[in-house]
Amino acid sequence: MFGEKEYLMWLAMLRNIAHHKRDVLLHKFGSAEELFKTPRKTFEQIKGLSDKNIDELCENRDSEKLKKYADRVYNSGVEYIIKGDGIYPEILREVYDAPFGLYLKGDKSVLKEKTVSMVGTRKATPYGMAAAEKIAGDFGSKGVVVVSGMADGIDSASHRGALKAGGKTIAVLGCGVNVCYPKTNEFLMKRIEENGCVLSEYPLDEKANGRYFPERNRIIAGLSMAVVVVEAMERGGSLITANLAVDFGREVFAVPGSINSSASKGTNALIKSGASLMTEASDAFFAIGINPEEEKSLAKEKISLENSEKLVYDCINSGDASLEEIILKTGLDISEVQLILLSLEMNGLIAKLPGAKYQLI
Amino acid sequence: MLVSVMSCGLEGLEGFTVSVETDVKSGFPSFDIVGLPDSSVRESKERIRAAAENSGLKFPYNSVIVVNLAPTGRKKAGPSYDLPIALGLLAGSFKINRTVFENTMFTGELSLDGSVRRVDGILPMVLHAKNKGFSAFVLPYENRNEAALVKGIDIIPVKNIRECCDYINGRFPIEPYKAEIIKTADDFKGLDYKDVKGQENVKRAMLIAAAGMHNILMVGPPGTGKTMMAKRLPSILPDMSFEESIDVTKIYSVAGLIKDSEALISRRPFRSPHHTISNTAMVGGGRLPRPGEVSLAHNGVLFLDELPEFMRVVLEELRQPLEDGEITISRVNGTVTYPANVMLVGSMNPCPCGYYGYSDRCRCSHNSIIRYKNKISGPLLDRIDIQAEAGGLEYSKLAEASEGESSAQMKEKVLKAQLIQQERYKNESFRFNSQLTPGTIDKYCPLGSAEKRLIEKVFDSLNLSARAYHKILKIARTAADLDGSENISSMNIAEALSLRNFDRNKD
Repeated sequence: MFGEKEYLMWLAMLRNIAHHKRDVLLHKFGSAEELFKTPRKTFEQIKGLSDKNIDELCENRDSEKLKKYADRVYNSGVEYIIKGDGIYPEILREVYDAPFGLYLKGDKSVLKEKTVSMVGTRKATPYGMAAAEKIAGDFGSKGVVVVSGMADGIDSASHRGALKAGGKTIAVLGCGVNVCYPKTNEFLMKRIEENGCVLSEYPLDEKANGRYFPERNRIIAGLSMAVVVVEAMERGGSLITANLAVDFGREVFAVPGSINSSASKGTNALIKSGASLMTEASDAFFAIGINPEEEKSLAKEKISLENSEKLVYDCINSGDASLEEIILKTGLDISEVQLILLSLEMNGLIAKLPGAKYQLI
Repeated sequence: MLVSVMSCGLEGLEGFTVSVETDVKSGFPSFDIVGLPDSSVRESKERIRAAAENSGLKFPYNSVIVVNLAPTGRKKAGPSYDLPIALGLLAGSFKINRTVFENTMFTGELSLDGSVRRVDGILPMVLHAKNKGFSAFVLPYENRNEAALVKGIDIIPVKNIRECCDYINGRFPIEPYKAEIIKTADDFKGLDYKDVKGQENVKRAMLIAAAGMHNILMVGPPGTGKTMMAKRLPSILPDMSFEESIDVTKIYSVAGLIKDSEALISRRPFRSPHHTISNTAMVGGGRLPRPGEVSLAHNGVLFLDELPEFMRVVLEELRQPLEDGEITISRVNGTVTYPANVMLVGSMNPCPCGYYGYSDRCRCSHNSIIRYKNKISGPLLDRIDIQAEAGGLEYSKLAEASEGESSAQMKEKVLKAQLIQQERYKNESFRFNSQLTPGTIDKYCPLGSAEKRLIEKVFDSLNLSARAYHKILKIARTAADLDGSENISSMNIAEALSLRNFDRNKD
């Protein structure tokens, strides 16, 4: 009645046993089914298993409950992918502590595409948000799937950028796939499910938990050959991801920022210690396995600007400019400037930042 | 002996005739006031006794005194019945000329030395007396300027009760008081937009807001001149008409805020209550409902600095007055409606610390920023057409900026734009662009094909809602009126869009 998949779901539910311990157990006993059926005595002879671990392994063996849970998983349109499945990403399989199973909601075909991971701080600056959106958009329009963690700040901006460009994206969650965390991203999550998928190694309704996020980061790092850090504080989850990526043999890219910006301290430090500097998406094409040469034809066609438009454009070109400064420098009428700014924005040349400021894209 | 003296009570901004009946009979001494007096009316006994004594008038001590305030079903409050009650008692004992009582109204508070003190709400009382056909109104000397705003009724100011008795006896004739209307100073305390350096976009937003009477919310970091900007708004609004002034003065009169030196409030009110304000103080209330800040700002500007810091209930209560231009307060003692036609000006920081998007020092989390913005509910935000972003100007650039447009120049533009609106909406029930409804927007805000294309393109790329569409057209209409042009241009649309920031900072 049960297959190995269901038993793995059971194993994934035992949240108080560290994931590497479960991997070792799985290896030792050969299958999750075996673990499910092994008597308590056998576990007691294994070194490194605490009493609590053994309690958890032995006291949660309700096959009725497990069956109900499995039915619920299948009926809610969620798939459980295990290492033995063909769809399990090759690239993740190579990682030594890759999860033995992943819940997936959405379109599983994206797992076969070329991927890039993008991470960064939740407290992003407008610069970071715009950079993440732009880079993710460039990846998205080249057909590269953007992997991120759906957190606030850089993560969300990366997903959004990819979606806006018509690309696909994958969100790896630190909670169950039926839970939206943070809640404000409900709409974004829906769009990700439609244009890619959400992944999680945790049971369906598992709530977000502080200790899950670092664990989740290994999946983000493991899912692609290149990890892009857009903005990072001096310490934080993004740097954990970057370190894991190095362990896994991935290439780490960091988007540079102002030396004064605390949100760029982490990325600047990464560059100092040898990460590749990224100013545009194509910097990572080689690492992902795309031929940068053939992409050149897709470069943005030049849009010709009128005189006054050029004036405004040049004004913003010399750095972020506030509406105030533009009016002051160009000497144009405020209503006229507004129209020019709007048309530049519509043509995708500039972006509006909060605080009536503008920057080039 | 029975005497009846006419006086006036107040319910909201409306006066009502009160007949003060006094009955004095010899017998075991007593003094009763009936007819739903509140305690301040009941206390008048003590004041009257002392005032009469100290003025050398004889108070009927050894008598049974009953005072009735008719209509007896309505609550009477305040010390303004001191004078009529005293006159009733004295008339009985001294046989003063009673014919005066038939077509004259009396009001005034008595001091223990017999002098007559000012009372609140004189203007609505005198207006009521005039409408009811009274020929004269005897009132405190300090209230004379306010009362003289009403023409067609004799204003008899009295300084003390002795003088009042002598006037009634005919021994001391008092000429009806006539005065030039004393206006409040028109100089707006020297506040002028030309003092504001830079911030051209917010100034422009203010101009548009004033021209179309749109409510406006300024968003920006601390110290960018949001308050400075708001305080100067009345200086570019058109002057109040005499009727508008009277309406405002009535409210201030009832609230007891009229100074003797400025009887007629001719400057548009500017009220900026602190954010700790209670909802009663904001919309009005109390046992006998008094006008709140939103009514005191009638025909003027209600400025709410640090909008998200206001208590949520207070902000929610503002929804009805912003919609209807008046506020109805219901209490056990009755329902009162005060006018509350205000232009709402709010200011807020972009995040709890104030620097999001302006300075690197902002450490607010995404959630706390969202929570901060959500303190202003959707329905309230819906009533605020314009959201202007005040940019942070560095000091060096401030020095570079030239002196801006003066308030006088801006006011002229506002007047022109409002005139265009009045002409356009002469067959409608509303007067300003801000009052356009979705149905009338289609009628009055037609777009050319190029403009239509622009707005479609903008909506696709910025993901705007239908509501945003209507707001943008309303603001664009005002911008076009400021240009004096009949058609809405692309420039107007671009400008309107820049004044709807909350619509675009969404996912």
